[in-house]
Amino acid sequence: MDQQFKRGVLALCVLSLLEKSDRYGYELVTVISQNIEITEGSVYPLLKKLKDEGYVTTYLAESVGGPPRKYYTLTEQGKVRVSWLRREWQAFVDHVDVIIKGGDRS
Amino acid sequence: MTVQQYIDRLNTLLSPLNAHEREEILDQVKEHYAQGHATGRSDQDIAAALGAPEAFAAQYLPQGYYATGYTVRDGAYLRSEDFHSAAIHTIRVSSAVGKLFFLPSADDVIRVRLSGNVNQNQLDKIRWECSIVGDTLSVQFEAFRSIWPWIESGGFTRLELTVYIPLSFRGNLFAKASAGPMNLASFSLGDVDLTSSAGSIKADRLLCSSLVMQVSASSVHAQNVEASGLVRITSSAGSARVDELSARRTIIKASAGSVQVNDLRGGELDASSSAGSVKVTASRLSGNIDMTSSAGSVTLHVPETEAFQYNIHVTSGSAYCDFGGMQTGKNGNKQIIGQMGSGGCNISLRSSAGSAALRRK
Repeated sequence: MDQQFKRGVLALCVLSLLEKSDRYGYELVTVISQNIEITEGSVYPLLKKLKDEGYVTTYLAESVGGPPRKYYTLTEQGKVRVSWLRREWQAFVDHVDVIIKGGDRS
Repeated sequence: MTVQQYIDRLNTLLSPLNAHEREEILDQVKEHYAQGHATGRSDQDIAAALGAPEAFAAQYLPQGYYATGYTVRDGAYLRSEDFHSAAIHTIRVSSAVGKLFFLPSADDVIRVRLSGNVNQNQLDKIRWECSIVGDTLSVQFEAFRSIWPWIESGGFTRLELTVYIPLSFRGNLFAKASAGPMNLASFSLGDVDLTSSAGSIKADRLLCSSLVMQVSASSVHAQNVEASGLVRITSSAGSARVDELSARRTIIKASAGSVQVNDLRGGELDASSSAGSVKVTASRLSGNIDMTSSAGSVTLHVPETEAFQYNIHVTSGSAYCDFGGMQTGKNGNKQIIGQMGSGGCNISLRSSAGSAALRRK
Protein backbone atom coordinates (compact mmCIF):
# COMPACT_ATOMS: atom_id res chain seq x y z
CA MET A 1 0.00 0.00 0.00
CA ASP A 2 1.19 3.51 -0.73
CA GLN A 3 3.09 4.92 2.24
CA GLN A 4 1.42 8.31 2.14
CA PHE A 5 -1.99 6.70 2.04
CA LYS A 6 -1.10 4.33 4.85
CA ARG A 7 0.04 7.20 7.02
CA GLY A 8 -3.23 9.03 6.46
CA VAL A 9 -5.20 5.95 7.44
CA LEU A 10 -2.95 5.43 10.46
CA ALA A 11 -3.67 8.97 11.67
CA LEU A 12 -7.40 8.26 11.40
CA CYS A 13 -7.00 5.04 13.41
CA VAL A 14 -4.98 6.70 16.14
CA LEU A 15 -7.32 9.66 16.48
CA SER A 16 -10.39 7.41 16.46
CA LEU A 17 -8.96 5.27 19.25
CA LEU A 18 -8.15 8.37 21.29
CA GLU A 19 -11.67 9.67 20.76
CA LYS A 20 -12.96 6.79 22.86
CA SER A 21 -10.38 6.95 25.63
CA ASP A 22 -6.92 8.22 26.47
CA ARG A 23 -4.24 5.67 25.72
CA TYR A 24 -0.51 5.26 26.10
CA GLY A 25 1.83 4.64 23.19
CA TYR A 26 2.37 0.93 23.53
CA GLU A 27 -1.37 0.36 23.83
CA LEU A 28 -2.02 2.23 20.60
CA VAL A 29 0.74 0.33 18.82
CA THR A 30 -0.63 -3.01 20.00
CA VAL A 31 -4.27 -2.36 19.14
CA ILE A 32 -3.45 -1.04 15.68
CA SER A 33 -0.89 -3.69 14.78
CA GLN A 34 -3.36 -6.39 15.75
CA ASN A 35 -5.67 -5.13 13.03
CA ILE A 36 -3.49 -3.59 10.37
CA GLU A 37 -0.06 -4.61 9.19
CA ILE A 38 2.20 -1.75 10.24
CA THR A 39 5.70 -1.22 11.48
CA GLU A 40 5.38 -0.50 15.17
CA GLY A 41 7.97 2.19 14.67
CA SER A 42 5.64 4.22 12.49
CA VAL A 43 3.17 5.02 15.29
CA TYR A 44 5.46 7.10 17.51
CA PRO A 45 6.60 9.55 14.86
CA LEU A 46 2.96 9.97 13.91
CA LEU A 47 2.01 10.66 17.53
CA LYS A 48 4.69 13.32 17.72
CA LYS A 49 3.45 14.89 14.50
CA LEU A 50 -0.13 14.92 15.79
CA LYS A 51 1.12 16.54 18.96
CA ASP A 52 3.12 19.16 17.05
CA GLU A 53 0.01 19.92 15.01
CA GLY A 54 -2.03 20.36 18.18
CA TYR A 55 -4.43 17.46 17.68
CA VAL A 56 -3.27 15.60 20.77
CA THR A 57 -1.54 16.42 24.05
CA THR A 58 0.18 14.17 26.54
CA TYR A 59 0.34 13.63 30.27
CA LEU A 60 2.23 11.24 32.48
CA ALA A 61 0.40 8.78 34.72
CA GLU A 62 1.58 6.08 37.06
CA SER A 63 1.16 2.49 36.06
CA VAL A 64 0.68 -0.43 38.37
CA GLY A 65 4.06 -1.91 39.13
CA GLY A 66 5.88 -0.20 36.30
CA PRO A 67 7.39 3.08 35.16
CA PRO A 68 4.99 5.98 34.47
CA ARG A 69 3.37 6.00 31.07
CA LYS A 70 2.83 8.84 28.70
CA TYR A 71 -0.85 9.06 27.84
CA TYR A 72 -2.17 10.69 24.71
CA THR A 73 -5.42 12.62 24.76
CA LEU A 74 -7.40 14.34 22.04
CA THR A 75 -7.65 18.16 22.03
CA GLU A 76 -10.74 20.06 20.85
CA GLN A 77 -8.91 20.61 17.59
CA GLY A 78 -8.24 16.89 17.43
CA LYS A 79 -11.89 16.07 17.84
CA VAL A 80 -12.77 18.28 14.88
CA ARG A 81 -9.94 16.72 12.92
CA VAL A 82 -11.06 13.15 13.52
CA SER A 83 -14.63 13.75 12.47
CA TRP A 84 -13.39 15.45 9.32
CA LEU A 85 -10.99 12.58 8.55
CA ARG A 86 -13.76 10.08 9.13
CA ARG A 87 -16.07 11.84 6.68
CA GLU A 88 -13.27 11.87 4.10
CA TRP A 89 -12.59 8.20 4.65
CA GLN A 90 -16.27 7.31 4.34
CA ALA A 91 -16.61 9.25 1.12
CA PHE A 92 -13.50 7.57 -0.24
CA VAL A 93 -14.73 4.10 0.65
CA ASP A 94 -18.13 4.82 -0.90
CA HIS A 95 -16.53 5.91 -4.17
CA VAL A 96 -14.27 2.85 -4.27
CA ASP A 97 -17.28 0.66 -3.49
CA VAL A 98 -19.17 2.02 -6.43
CA ILE A 99 -16.28 1.21 -8.73
CA ILE A 100 -15.46 -2.27 -7.46
CA LYS A 101 -19.11 -3.29 -7.51
CA GLY A 102 -19.10 -2.50 -11.21
CA GLY A 103 -21.37 0.49 -10.99
CA ASP A 104 -20.95 3.67 -12.91
CA ARG A 105 -22.96 6.63 -11.76
CA SER A 106 -22.46 8.68 -14.90
CA MET B 1 20.38 -5.34 19.17
CA THR B 2 19.86 -4.62 22.86
CA VAL B 3 17.75 -1.76 24.23
CA GLN B 4 20.86 0.24 25.00
CA GLN B 5 22.32 -0.29 21.53
CA TYR B 6 19.06 0.75 19.93
CA ILE B 7 18.80 3.86 22.12
CA ASP B 8 22.43 4.84 21.56
CA ARG B 9 22.14 4.48 17.82
CA LEU B 10 18.95 6.47 17.80
CA ASN B 11 20.54 9.16 19.91
CA THR B 12 23.28 9.58 17.33
CA LEU B 13 20.91 9.56 14.39
CA LEU B 14 18.64 12.13 16.00
CA SER B 15 21.47 14.53 16.74
CA PRO B 16 20.11 17.11 14.28
CA LEU B 17 17.19 17.63 16.66
CA ASN B 18 17.47 19.68 19.83
CA ALA B 19 18.10 17.97 23.16
CA HIS B 20 14.54 18.33 24.39
CA GLU B 21 12.94 16.76 21.33
CA ARG B 22 15.51 14.02 21.24
CA GLU B 23 14.98 13.15 24.88
CA GLU B 24 11.23 13.01 24.38
CA ILE B 25 11.61 10.52 21.56
CA LEU B 26 14.14 8.40 23.41
CA ASP B 27 11.93 8.34 26.53
CA GLN B 28 9.05 7.14 24.43
CA VAL B 29 11.15 4.36 22.96
CA LYS B 30 12.37 3.36 26.42
CA GLU B 31 8.76 3.21 27.59
CA HIS B 32 7.91 1.09 24.59
CA TYR B 33 10.67 -1.35 25.47
CA ALA B 34 9.58 -1.46 29.13
CA GLN B 35 6.00 -2.22 28.11
CA GLY B 36 7.18 -4.83 25.66
CA HIS B 37 9.32 -6.50 28.31
CA ALA B 38 6.33 -6.54 30.66
CA THR B 39 4.43 -8.66 28.15
CA GLY B 40 7.35 -11.03 27.80
CA ARG B 41 8.83 -9.80 24.53
CA SER B 42 12.58 -9.90 23.95
CA ASP B 43 14.81 -6.97 22.93
CA GLN B 44 15.26 -8.55 19.51
CA ASP B 45 11.57 -8.95 18.95
CA ILE B 46 10.81 -5.37 19.97
CA ALA B 47 13.65 -3.96 17.89
CA ALA B 48 12.55 -5.90 14.83
CA ALA B 49 8.97 -4.64 15.13
CA LEU B 50 10.08 -1.05 15.63
CA GLY B 51 12.18 -1.22 12.50
CA ALA B 52 15.85 -0.31 11.98
CA PRO B 53 16.97 2.72 14.02
CA GLU B 54 17.87 4.46 10.75
CA ALA B 55 14.34 4.07 9.38
CA PHE B 56 12.80 4.98 12.70
CA ALA B 57 14.92 8.12 13.12
CA ALA B 58 14.34 9.24 9.55
CA GLN B 59 10.64 9.67 10.31
CA TYR B 60 11.44 12.45 12.76
CA LEU B 61 13.72 14.35 10.43
CA PRO B 62 12.98 16.46 7.37
CA GLN B 63 12.35 14.30 4.34
CA GLY B 64 15.46 12.99 2.67
CA TYR B 65 17.64 14.21 5.50
CA TYR B 66 19.90 11.22 5.57
CA ALA B 67 19.35 10.26 1.97
CA THR B 68 20.55 13.50 0.41
CA GLY B 69 23.40 14.26 2.79
CA TYR B 70 23.74 17.29 4.91
CA THR B 71 25.16 19.97 2.75
CA VAL B 72 23.22 23.02 1.77
CA ARG B 73 25.64 24.49 -0.71
CA ASP B 74 23.72 26.98 -2.74
CA GLY B 75 20.87 27.54 -0.37
CA ALA B 76 20.93 29.60 2.76
CA TYR B 77 24.27 29.77 4.50
CA LEU B 78 24.43 29.40 8.23
CA ARG B 79 26.89 32.26 8.32
CA SER B 80 28.54 34.35 5.71
CA GLU B 81 30.95 37.26 5.42
CA ASP B 82 32.52 39.05 2.46
CA PHE B 83 35.80 40.95 2.18
CA HIS B 84 37.22 42.93 -0.65
CA SER B 85 40.53 41.36 -1.53
CA ALA B 86 42.37 44.52 -2.69
CA ALA B 87 43.96 45.35 0.68
CA ILE B 88 44.48 41.75 1.79
CA HIS B 89 47.77 40.01 1.28
CA THR B 90 47.49 37.05 3.62
CA ILE B 91 44.56 34.78 4.45
CA ARG B 92 44.83 32.86 7.69
CA VAL B 93 42.21 30.24 8.49
CA SER B 94 41.99 28.16 11.60
CA SER B 95 39.16 25.66 11.74
CA ALA B 96 38.42 23.33 14.61
CA VAL B 97 35.17 21.91 13.40
CA GLY B 98 34.08 21.16 9.88
CA LYS B 99 35.42 20.40 6.48
CA LEU B 100 37.48 23.18 5.00
CA PHE B 101 37.35 24.12 1.33
CA PHE B 102 39.20 26.70 -0.68
CA LEU B 103 37.56 27.42 -3.99
CA PRO B 104 38.06 30.15 -6.59
CA SER B 105 35.67 33.08 -6.81
CA ALA B 106 35.13 34.82 -10.12
CA ASP B 107 35.29 38.41 -8.86
CA ASP B 108 37.64 40.10 -6.41
CA VAL B 109 35.74 39.34 -3.22
CA ILE B 110 36.89 36.88 -0.59
CA ARG B 111 33.81 35.07 0.66
CA VAL B 112 33.74 33.10 3.85
CA ARG B 113 30.77 30.76 4.00
CA LEU B 114 29.53 28.28 6.53
CA SER B 115 27.08 25.73 5.27
CA GLY B 116 25.75 22.46 6.51
CA ASN B 117 22.92 20.98 8.41
CA VAL B 118 23.14 21.20 12.17
CA ASN B 119 20.68 22.21 14.81
CA GLN B 120 20.66 25.55 16.56
CA ASN B 121 22.08 24.05 19.71
CA GLN B 122 25.19 22.87 17.89
CA LEU B 123 25.49 26.09 15.95
CA ASP B 124 25.39 28.05 19.21
CA LYS B 125 28.40 26.10 20.38
CA ILE B 126 30.51 27.18 17.47
CA ARG B 127 32.30 30.47 17.39
CA TRP B 128 33.37 32.10 14.22
CA GLU B 129 35.30 35.27 13.94
CA CYS B 130 36.66 37.09 10.92
CA SER B 131 38.99 40.00 11.41
CA ILE B 132 41.40 42.07 9.39
CA VAL B 133 44.61 43.20 11.01
CA GLY B 134 46.98 45.04 8.71
CA ASP B 135 46.87 43.17 5.42
CA THR B 136 45.88 39.84 7.01
CA LEU B 137 42.41 38.39 7.01
CA SER B 138 41.98 35.94 9.88
CA VAL B 139 39.14 33.46 10.04
CA GLN B 140 38.79 31.59 13.31
CA PHE B 141 36.34 28.83 13.66
CA GLU B 142 36.19 27.04 16.98
CA ALA B 143 33.92 24.84 19.01
CA PHE B 144 32.99 24.94 22.68
CA ARG B 145 34.21 22.07 24.75
CA SER B 146 30.69 20.79 25.36
CA ILE B 147 30.31 19.66 21.76
CA TRP B 148 33.69 17.99 21.45
CA PRO B 149 32.09 14.56 21.85
CA TRP B 150 29.84 15.46 18.96
CA ILE B 151 32.86 16.43 16.89
CA GLU B 152 34.74 13.31 17.86
CA SER B 153 31.80 11.13 16.92
CA GLY B 154 32.00 12.54 13.41
CA GLY B 155 29.31 15.21 13.74
CA PHE B 156 31.69 17.84 12.40
CA THR B 157 31.32 16.42 8.91
CA ARG B 158 27.98 18.18 8.72
CA LEU B 159 29.65 21.55 8.62
CA GLU B 160 31.54 23.00 5.72
CA LEU B 161 33.57 26.14 5.86
CA THR B 162 34.31 27.36 2.37
CA VAL B 163 36.58 30.28 1.59
CA TYR B 164 36.15 31.57 -1.94
CA ILE B 165 39.35 33.25 -3.02
CA PRO B 166 39.58 35.45 -6.13
CA LEU B 167 41.56 33.90 -8.96
CA SER B 168 43.51 37.17 -9.07
CA PHE B 169 44.64 36.82 -5.45
CA ARG B 170 48.41 36.35 -5.32
CA GLY B 171 48.92 36.54 -1.57
CA ASN B 172 49.67 33.91 1.04
CA LEU B 173 47.35 31.28 2.43
CA PHE B 174 47.87 29.72 5.83
CA ALA B 175 45.29 27.19 6.96
CA LYS B 176 45.01 24.93 9.94
CA ALA B 177 42.29 22.32 10.46
CA SER B 178 41.84 20.16 13.53
CA ALA B 179 39.11 17.71 12.78
CA GLY B 180 38.09 17.72 9.18
CA PRO B 181 39.59 17.31 5.76
CA MET B 182 40.90 20.22 3.73
CA ASN B 183 40.52 20.76 0.01
CA LEU B 184 42.02 23.36 -2.24
CA ALA B 185 41.79 23.81 -5.97
CA SER B 186 42.95 26.06 -8.79
CA PHE B 187 45.01 28.85 -7.35
CA SER B 188 48.02 30.93 -8.08
CA LEU B 189 49.32 32.06 -4.71
CA GLY B 190 52.37 33.15 -2.75
CA ASP B 191 53.35 31.06 0.24
CA VAL B 192 50.92 28.29 1.10
CA ASP B 193 50.94 26.44 4.41
CA LEU B 194 48.29 23.80 5.12
CA THR B 195 48.19 21.81 8.33
CA SER B 196 45.64 19.25 9.45
CA SER B 197 45.61 17.14 12.60
CA ALA B 198 43.01 14.50 12.02
CA GLY B 199 41.86 15.09 8.46
CA SER B 200 43.42 14.67 5.07
CA ILE B 201 44.63 17.42 2.76
CA LYS B 202 44.04 17.55 -0.96
CA ALA B 203 45.37 20.20 -3.28
CA ASP B 204 44.78 20.35 -7.00
CA ARG B 205 46.21 22.74 -9.59
CA LEU B 206 48.31 24.99 -7.45
CA LEU B 207 50.88 27.51 -8.56
CA CYS B 208 52.78 29.06 -5.66
CA SER B 209 56.07 30.36 -4.35
CA SER B 210 56.28 27.78 -1.59
CA LEU B 211 54.08 25.02 -0.27
CA VAL B 212 53.92 23.27 3.09
CA MET B 213 51.45 20.45 3.66
CA GLN B 214 51.45 18.73 6.98
CA VAL B 215 49.12 16.04 8.32
CA SER B 216 49.23 13.90 11.42
CA ALA B 217 46.69 11.17 11.25
CA SER B 218 45.65 11.18 7.63
CA SER B 219 47.03 11.34 4.12
CA VAL B 220 48.13 14.11 1.77
CA HIS B 221 47.48 14.23 -1.93
CA ALA B 222 48.67 17.03 -4.15
CA GLN B 223 48.15 17.18 -7.85
CA ASN B 224 49.59 19.49 -10.43
CA VAL B 225 51.77 21.61 -8.21
CA GLU B 226 54.25 24.15 -9.47
CA ALA B 227 56.34 25.96 -6.90
CA SER B 228 59.14 28.43 -7.58
CA GLY B 229 60.55 27.67 -4.14
CA LEU B 230 60.38 24.90 -1.59
CA VAL B 231 57.70 22.22 -1.28
CA ARG B 232 57.60 20.40 2.04
CA ILE B 233 55.12 17.58 2.61
CA THR B 234 54.92 15.62 5.85
CA SER B 235 52.63 12.87 7.07
CA SER B 236 52.99 11.05 10.39
CA ALA B 237 50.51 8.25 10.14
CA GLY B 238 49.25 8.46 6.58
CA SER B 239 50.69 8.39 3.11
CA ALA B 240 51.90 11.26 0.95
CA ARG B 241 51.31 11.40 -2.76
CA VAL B 242 52.09 14.02 -5.37
CA ASP B 243 51.20 13.83 -9.03
CA GLU B 244 52.82 16.22 -11.50
CA LEU B 245 55.22 18.18 -9.40
CA SER B 246 57.67 20.85 -10.28
CA ALA B 247 59.53 22.79 -7.61
CA ARG B 248 62.98 24.17 -6.95
CA ARG B 249 63.31 21.76 -4.05
CA THR B 250 60.90 19.19 -2.61
CA ILE B 251 61.05 17.41 0.72
CA ILE B 252 58.53 14.64 1.34
CA LYS B 253 58.53 12.72 4.58
CA ALA B 254 56.22 9.99 5.87
CA SER B 255 56.62 7.99 9.04
CA ALA B 256 54.18 5.13 8.87
CA GLY B 257 52.81 5.51 5.36
CA SER B 258 54.25 5.44 1.89
CA VAL B 259 55.56 8.24 -0.31
CA GLN B 260 54.72 8.43 -3.96
CA VAL B 261 55.61 10.98 -6.59
CA ASN B 262 54.21 10.44 -10.04
CA ASP B 263 55.73 12.60 -12.72
CA LEU B 264 58.43 14.67 -11.08
CA ARG B 265 59.12 17.47 -13.52
CA GLY B 266 62.39 18.70 -12.15
CA GLY B 267 63.96 20.19 -9.08
CA GLU B 268 65.75 18.68 -6.15
CA LEU B 269 63.92 15.90 -4.34
CA ASP B 270 64.38 14.48 -0.90
CA ALA B 271 61.82 11.71 -0.25
CA SER B 272 61.82 9.43 2.76
CA SER B 273 59.66 7.09 4.79
CA SER B 274 60.37 5.10 7.94
CA ALA B 275 57.96 2.23 7.62
CA GLY B 276 56.53 2.65 4.13
CA SER B 277 57.84 2.45 0.61
CA VAL B 278 59.13 5.36 -1.45
CA LYS B 279 58.30 5.42 -5.13
CA VAL B 280 59.15 8.17 -7.60
CA THR B 281 58.75 8.52 -11.32
CA ALA B 282 60.66 11.39 -12.90
CA SER B 283 60.03 12.68 -16.40
CA ARG B 284 63.05 14.93 -16.28
CA LEU B 285 65.96 15.61 -13.95
CA SER B 286 67.22 19.01 -12.95
CA GLY B 287 68.39 18.40 -9.40
CA ASN B 288 69.72 15.77 -7.03
CA ILE B 289 67.38 13.02 -5.93
CA ASP B 290 67.72 11.44 -2.52
CA MET B 291 65.33 8.64 -1.54
CA THR B 292 65.46 6.61 1.66
CA SER B 293 63.32 4.10 3.57
CA SER B 294 64.07 2.15 6.71
CA ALA B 295 61.62 -0.70 6.43
CA GLY B 296 60.13 -0.29 2.94
CA SER B 297 61.42 -0.46 -0.57
CA VAL B 298 62.73 2.43 -2.66
CA THR B 299 62.06 2.72 -6.39
CA LEU B 300 62.95 5.44 -8.87
CA HIS B 301 62.06 5.52 -12.55
CA VAL B 302 64.08 7.90 -14.74
CA PRO B 303 64.36 8.40 -18.51
CA GLU B 304 67.59 6.99 -19.84
CA THR B 305 68.15 10.12 -21.89
CA GLU B 306 68.98 12.10 -18.75
CA ALA B 307 72.51 12.51 -17.43
CA PHE B 308 73.18 11.49 -13.84
CA GLN B 309 75.37 9.48 -11.51
CA TYR B 310 73.83 7.08 -9.07
CA ASN B 311 74.46 5.33 -5.81
CA ILE B 312 72.13 2.53 -4.68
CA HIS B 313 72.73 1.21 -1.22
CA VAL B 314 70.84 -1.53 0.68
CA THR B 315 71.60 -3.14 4.03
CA SER B 316 69.59 -6.34 3.97
CA GLY B 317 67.36 -6.16 0.86
CA SER B 318 68.27 -6.43 -2.80
CA ALA B 319 69.52 -3.73 -5.14
CA TYR B 320 68.52 -3.43 -8.83
CA CYS B 321 69.64 -1.17 -11.61
CA ASP B 322 68.47 -1.03 -15.24
CA PHE B 323 71.56 0.96 -16.25
CA GLY B 324 74.31 -1.49 -15.42
CA GLY B 325 76.71 0.02 -12.95
CA MET B 326 79.31 -1.47 -10.74
CA GLN B 327 78.15 -3.64 -7.91
CA THR B 328 80.12 -4.05 -4.72
CA GLY B 329 79.52 -5.90 -1.46
CA LYS B 330 77.48 -9.00 -0.72
CA ASN B 331 75.55 -10.72 2.07
CA GLY B 332 72.91 -8.05 2.04
CA ASN B 333 75.07 -5.00 2.35
CA LYS B 334 75.18 -4.09 -1.33
CA GLN B 335 75.98 -1.01 -3.31
CA ILE B 336 75.65 -0.19 -7.00
CA ILE B 337 77.43 2.85 -8.37
CA GLY B 338 77.35 4.16 -11.91
CA GLN B 339 76.88 7.04 -14.31
CA MET B 340 74.65 7.85 -17.28
CA GLY B 341 75.72 10.27 -19.97
CA SER B 342 78.06 12.94 -18.78
CA GLY B 343 76.72 12.68 -15.22
CA GLY B 344 75.30 15.73 -13.46
CA CYS B 345 72.52 15.13 -11.00
CA ASN B 346 73.23 12.85 -8.09
CA ILE B 347 70.78 10.04 -7.42
CA SER B 348 70.95 8.27 -4.11
CA LEU B 349 68.64 5.38 -3.21
CA ARG B 350 68.91 3.80 0.20
CA SER B 351 66.93 1.20 2.13
CA SER B 352 67.75 -0.63 5.35
CA ALA B 353 65.35 -3.52 5.42
CA GLY B 354 63.78 -3.25 1.95
CA SER B 355 65.05 -3.34 -1.60
CA ALA B 356 66.16 -0.41 -3.76
CA ALA B 357 65.71 -0.15 -7.52
CA LEU B 358 66.67 2.32 -10.21
CA ARG B 359 64.53 1.71 -13.28
CA ARG B 360 64.26 2.96 -16.82
CA LYS B 361 61.13 4.99 -17.35
